[in-house]
Amino acid sequence: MSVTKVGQARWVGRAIPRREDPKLLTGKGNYIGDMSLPGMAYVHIVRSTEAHARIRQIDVDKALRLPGTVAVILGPEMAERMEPLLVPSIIPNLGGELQVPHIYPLAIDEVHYVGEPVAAVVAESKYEAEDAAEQIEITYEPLPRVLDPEEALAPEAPKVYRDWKNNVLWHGVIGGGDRDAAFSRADYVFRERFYGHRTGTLPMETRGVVASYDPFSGLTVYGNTQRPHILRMGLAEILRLPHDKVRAIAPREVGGAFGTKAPLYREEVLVSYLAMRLGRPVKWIETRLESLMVTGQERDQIHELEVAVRADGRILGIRDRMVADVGAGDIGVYLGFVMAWCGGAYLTNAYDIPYAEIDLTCVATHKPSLTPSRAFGEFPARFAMDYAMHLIARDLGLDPRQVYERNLICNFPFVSPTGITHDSGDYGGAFRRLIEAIDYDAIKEEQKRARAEGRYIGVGFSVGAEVSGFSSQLFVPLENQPGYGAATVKIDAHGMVHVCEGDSPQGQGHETTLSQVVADELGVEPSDVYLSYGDSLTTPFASGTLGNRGASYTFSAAVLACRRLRPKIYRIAAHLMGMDEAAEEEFSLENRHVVWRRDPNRRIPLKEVASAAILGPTRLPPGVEPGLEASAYFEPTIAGMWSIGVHGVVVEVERETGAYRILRYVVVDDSGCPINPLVVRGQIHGGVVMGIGNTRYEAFRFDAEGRPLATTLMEYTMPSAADVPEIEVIEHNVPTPYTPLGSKGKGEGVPGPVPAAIASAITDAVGNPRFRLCQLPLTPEAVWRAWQKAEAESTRLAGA
Amino acid sequence: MIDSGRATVTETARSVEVRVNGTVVRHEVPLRLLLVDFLRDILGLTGTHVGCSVEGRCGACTVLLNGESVKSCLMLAVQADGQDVVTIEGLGRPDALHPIQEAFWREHGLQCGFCTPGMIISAYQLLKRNPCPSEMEIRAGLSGNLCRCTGYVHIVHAVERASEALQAMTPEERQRWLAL
Amino acid sequence: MYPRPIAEYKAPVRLPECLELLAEHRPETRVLAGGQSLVPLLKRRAVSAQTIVDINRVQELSTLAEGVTEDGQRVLRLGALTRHRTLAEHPLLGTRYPALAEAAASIGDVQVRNRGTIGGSLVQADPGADLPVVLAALGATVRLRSLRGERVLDLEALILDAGKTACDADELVIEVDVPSPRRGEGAAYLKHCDVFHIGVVNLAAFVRLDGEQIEDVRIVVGGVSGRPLRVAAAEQLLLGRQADAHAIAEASDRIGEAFLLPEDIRGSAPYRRALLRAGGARVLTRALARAKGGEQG
Repeated sequence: MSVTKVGQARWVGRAIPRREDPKLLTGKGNYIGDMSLPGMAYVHIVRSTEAHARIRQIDVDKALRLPGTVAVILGPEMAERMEPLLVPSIIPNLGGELQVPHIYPLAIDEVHYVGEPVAAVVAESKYEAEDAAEQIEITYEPLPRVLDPEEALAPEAPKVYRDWKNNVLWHGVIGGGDRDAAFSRADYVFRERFYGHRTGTLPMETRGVVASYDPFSGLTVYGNTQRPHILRMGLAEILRLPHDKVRAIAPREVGGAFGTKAPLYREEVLVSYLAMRLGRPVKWIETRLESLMVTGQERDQIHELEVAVRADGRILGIRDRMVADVGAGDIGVYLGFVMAWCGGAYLTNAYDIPYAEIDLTCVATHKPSLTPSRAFGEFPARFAMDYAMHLIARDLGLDPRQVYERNLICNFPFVSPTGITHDSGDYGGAFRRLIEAIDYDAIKEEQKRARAEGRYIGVGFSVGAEVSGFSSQLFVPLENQPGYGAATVKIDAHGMVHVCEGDSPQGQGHETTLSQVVADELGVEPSDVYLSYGDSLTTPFASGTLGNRGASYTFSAAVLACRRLRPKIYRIAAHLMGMDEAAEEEFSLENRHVVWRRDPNRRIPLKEVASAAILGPTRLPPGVEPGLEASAYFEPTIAGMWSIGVHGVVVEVERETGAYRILRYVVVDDSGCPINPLVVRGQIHGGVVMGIGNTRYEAFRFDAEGRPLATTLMEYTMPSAADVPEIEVIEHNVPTPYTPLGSKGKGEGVPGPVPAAIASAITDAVGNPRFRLCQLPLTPEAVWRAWQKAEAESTRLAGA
Repeated sequence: MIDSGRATVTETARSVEVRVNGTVVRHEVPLRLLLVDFLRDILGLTGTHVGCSVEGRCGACTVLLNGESVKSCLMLAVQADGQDVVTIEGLGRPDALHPIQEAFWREHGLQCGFCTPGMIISAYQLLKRNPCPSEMEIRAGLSGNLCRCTGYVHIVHAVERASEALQAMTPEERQRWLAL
Repeated sequence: MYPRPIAEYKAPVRLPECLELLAEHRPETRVLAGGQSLVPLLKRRAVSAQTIVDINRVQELSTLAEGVTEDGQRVLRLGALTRHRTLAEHPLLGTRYPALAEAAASIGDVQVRNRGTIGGSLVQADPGADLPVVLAALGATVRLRSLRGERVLDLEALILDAGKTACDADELVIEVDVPSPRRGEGAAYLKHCDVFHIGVVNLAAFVRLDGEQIEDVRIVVGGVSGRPLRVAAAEQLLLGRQADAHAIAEASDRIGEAFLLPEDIRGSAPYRRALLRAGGARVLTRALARAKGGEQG
């Protein structure tokens, strides 16, 4: 029998097909929409049609007369039966000046945005719930509304919340360093206003909740949340239930989340309350219309950016007046503004910029709250900073490559003036690799030839530092939650390995990748490993699957738990083999066996060790406790871990219409130590295409009354396969010394660099020195307008 | 009964007989019941998903009706009376995957899996009509199905792989896989 | 989002039965063909249906063949149930009516084209729809039948405004007749869309050449109004002119300037003007090439 060499990684790093897929490929997944409980009723939420109004009257009589109607519930009764939604445990601790909306799941007296829940209809079927909802008549008295964040800052602006002193949900200044040293020594100060529009991630599966209640087991809530533990904690506090009477379960399958399923939402509290109030199970599945109204809207930041630069392109400092339109801010954990805070804190990206001062004002308006979305807060910030670097190069007559090279962080660990720690990496190397891969010089030559034929080709690039999980040092203030990863590893009586993780994935493939990690640590096959996740009752407490925590934090916790178990396994194995005198270091775990390294023929199946530990404790060495399980919590010894992605794009732009086509899209990416390269690539492909969607195709727009203009996927146009190119990925991996495997989280930040890459490529293609694209989205019309404007300016200047 | 400013209309049901994944089923269904809800809620075939509301844009509910791909959220169940419907559950089993499913697996053509059943049915429709599609043809052929996880790259690779696998088969074998 | 209750569902197999049902004038009677527009409206509860008349089983509405009309004109007869997919992929259309095939191929996606029908598309009269524009340019006529008799309308007479047609409640669109191409004729269709097959503007052009001279021309624009619009100003300019690049450029300018253009999330008025100008030039160039090249259509 061949024996794998000691220490050889067998599974980590291999692009094996995923273990969860046969189920998903054959339609056997269990998503929230597939769930039903005996006696279940259906919830339809009636939402505000006004951006700001007093509720004069709600007539529910006709709805109640329909035979399928179970109940119609309105807001006022909630104030007596629960805490206001935004309880302290789901409010961030970021200092600064914060005002918190005082709200309940359903609006009471006043509505603050179109889509705010006003009434809940419960009926025997989902069709009948809608029939009843249609019969509810609500009389609104419209109140003055404010939809523009800068108008909302005016002293005379209508207030979003009556009890607030103004519309500023949060204000603070992020940054540090020596201001005078930066701006007084600058050869050039670049100034521009950038706008990153309201867009987001919108997974294919909308939100959903199924709740049931009985006084003995309490409240059981199934919901496609990214963080069941936080949901459970929040629900207990809001609904005044003891912790043992609340259990939150995320279904085994969740149809994508990308941040949108991370907050604690009004609907989760509402549906839980209805189950308690009516004493029967209830189900709510968000319609796409509802999702487009209230879920997945992010970005929406204005950056008035000033960059102090030396003539050689070295950036000495930045100042930014940031205004974020956070909407109503009525979601737990984020209050709509944590994303904007990250946009500010991450603004210096992967650059060694000595000074930064970001004045951030998060403004409430009569629009839905921002909800987290992949490239969390940083999407507009990356656009502003990285596109600015291209414009700076143009202004200074430098090659943009020089400006990037001069500013990329090269000494690690690095702490930015905004307090962000970069642990390790090779940012410069990744950048040079991208330039080489995209064949920059050759494209510039091709550009000349094409232009002679009246075609416009251009090349652009950008960089995205990507957070690799949040350490507690950042996460406790940011979201009032711990950053650590948590896992329990139990070897069962059959020698199979049961891993309980605190996170709750939504398509990331933990069943495969976590199994690969554990298989290596315990010398078993991935098929020997099975997972528990998503259930607050049976998994260790953790903050959920978000912010690239998997491969960085949670898997590291699983590794530590395995390593914690090994000495006990070796001790028992030694005893069973009659080698009590052998030291732990003399053993290893391979091929489902404990092997004595000095003579690999001396081995014992792991199954036998497990059997002794669990079923036959009489065979254990004296003093050894039965059982084979360990828990571990991973927190790195550094305040932040980051990875890098460098994006390059070649475009061709059409002069008459501004239409543009992506000819090539290349990403050079560092995931430290990819656990499964196929999965990492999938994350990057998906992130880039989501970024392209957000940059070009997708926008949440509102009319003058604050009503959404995108109410179906025919208006919120996410790209199809026919709308996007192939994405090339090149690995440039630098393992981090701060995780046991060197692995970094990957996927969350991938969309971030996309808009600057595309904007710089279009700018390069157009070639007019006055052309600039400082507002997202980059629709063909926006390109066409910018081109017209640049040409008009050129003509005017030539005339003058 | 419902009165929405219209004449009062009573919910009416009707018996339908549909061949679903090779088995004839007979059920009483309300006239307004959508085909997708018939499949999911009455027959329990929850592999067919719903990702949009009125517009039928997302394609997650795509099934074969008499061998042609259709969006089951844009049809009434009564329209399927006497017809043949194939859902993802009728394509292959976890232990005997259809070559298209197998290719999606090998190429990592899925992440969360929500769009996957509809996407695979569309891939099936494409390969049935065009056994050797180009990359552009694959992308166009799948444009009725949205995916938010994969960026479509591995999906396109999967369809290319499935096409090659089907081409490598004998005509009889290939016919067997594409005869639905 | 689900339809309101439906009281009756009829799926006749013969045309007279359909017409009899429509003649009963029951309230809220909806004809269901492909359903790709009607079902979304039912789900949105923008329309109600007490009675559904499902015409999918009526074989005689699925004809596709060239023939001769009562007045002796050679035409392509398309039954109202002809699916978009058939239009897009039928070899006869590909060779003889490429503009129509182009328009059908740019409708929605595979699933929508598998179900959607030409009759449904005309009766729904969606302002952005592809087929009304190309059919108007081709000079197609539409046959409406009821128990009262039959009438034939051209596209301009049929489509009155967004969602409004001249089709009476007891009438059914049964057939569309597209004039067969003759020597020297050419047509083309173009839709400008940024994402998927959602158009911002769409255009179709038909030309007949006598040698190098433009003898007849129809230019139709969609997505700028409630109904497809002929661009008379551009047509006038081209009639009798030499078919050269100069004429095309002038005509496309006129197409851009012909209308007061709408603003919506898909594009502003000035941008639509730019698209019409660019698209006008392209569609005319292609139609002329077809007319000249012996490529028919």
